[in-house]
Amino acid sequence: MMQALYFFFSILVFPGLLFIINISLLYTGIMRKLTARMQNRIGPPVWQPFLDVIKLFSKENINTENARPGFTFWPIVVLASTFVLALMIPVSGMAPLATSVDAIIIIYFFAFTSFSLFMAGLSSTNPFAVTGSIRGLVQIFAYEFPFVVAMLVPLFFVGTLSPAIVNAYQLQSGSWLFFNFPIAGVVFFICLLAKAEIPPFHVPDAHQEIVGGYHVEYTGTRYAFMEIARSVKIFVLISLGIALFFGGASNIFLFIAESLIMLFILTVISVVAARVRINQVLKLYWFLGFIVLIELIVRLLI
Amino acid sequence: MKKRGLLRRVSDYARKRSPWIVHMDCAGCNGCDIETFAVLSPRYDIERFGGLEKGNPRQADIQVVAGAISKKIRSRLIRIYEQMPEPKIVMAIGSCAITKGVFHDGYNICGPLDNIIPVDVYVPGCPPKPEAILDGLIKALELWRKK
Repeated sequence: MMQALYFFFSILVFPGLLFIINISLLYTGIMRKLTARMQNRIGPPVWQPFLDVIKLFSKENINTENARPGFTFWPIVVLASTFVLALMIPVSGMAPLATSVDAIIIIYFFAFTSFSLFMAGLSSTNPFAVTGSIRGLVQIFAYEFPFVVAMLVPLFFVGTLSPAIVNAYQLQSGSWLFFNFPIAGVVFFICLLAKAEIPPFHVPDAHQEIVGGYHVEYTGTRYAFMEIARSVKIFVLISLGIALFFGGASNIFLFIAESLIMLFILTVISVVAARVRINQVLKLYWFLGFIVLIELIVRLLI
Repeated sequence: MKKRGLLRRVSDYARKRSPWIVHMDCAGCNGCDIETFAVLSPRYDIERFGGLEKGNPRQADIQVVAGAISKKIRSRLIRIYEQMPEPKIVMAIGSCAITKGVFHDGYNICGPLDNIIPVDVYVPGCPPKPEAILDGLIKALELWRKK
């Protein structure tokens, strides 16, 4: 009985949905505030994303005339698949839905969130949204391979398929796997930028050329879903990075400290770098994939 | 004044602090346009009130219109207005949008802005200073209560 109650508590409250939605929106707010300070502005308050999301929930939902049937359906899928990811990944050592083969499910669900965003954009039939979706899909082909290989390096080293065990291993040995595998760590970090669509690689939702990519046609609640999903995805990627490479975390305070440092580095990169073109993204990521594959093979042979 | 429910008060609070603007320059001299861009720049920083410049009328709350309205741009203006989700606010920036300004006898100018779409806030000036535009924006945010 107690165990079932604890299970539901861990899914719904901590470290489940309630905690994850709140902390990821807060992290987005911190990111916006830091960006503003680095650009010599005052910037919004850190709770700004909460206000944005509440406002979006209170706005009208517009159904466009040319939209395909999936138009109302895919934003919910985007949100749901991001939540599944969030429940799979160890936040401070705990993952409510953890199994022994997490890594495979995580890889599939990361691809699935990107794919459902692609479908959301495609079903709205707006030219900007379709362009953004196709760019997003091309970007998946670019970053998915180096990301997966970089994830496999620490997993093979520890000999498991569960990020929670890698997290525990790092805590036990007291050293960061990032220092054992610096190349894989750096490649993972660069892929994290592309997966979260943070500025140097925000090709799919380039505001200046294709007014926001997939979510051009989305208003109100559906856009709020996509915004929450985006924030949760950034948080999930950061916690996966901590579990696999950057030290691991035994309690929530250590986790928050480490993730804030990672968020700061991400923000610095996003402020400093300009957007790259889609062909440059492909070239860069295939190069990275090649390098990290060599590292994986060398590690396996030794 | 009628009593409001909790949800309505929360949504009013959120709307007041997150104005996303879509900005449209009609057939003016671009003076008001440049002053509006100054509001978005780091110096006057609209984002400290939670505002963002959205290139997309479907996600915007406030339409900022600058310049006189010519016959060509009239239909586009109405179309952008209609694409914005309810509730929405329209701001008229500068003399040309409020009256016809120096273009008043132009052969291709059709009416001041409030003959075409309902306007909520007028910011006079030729061009208005960025402070004035920001002041108009904050006055516009008070209007959410009436919508």
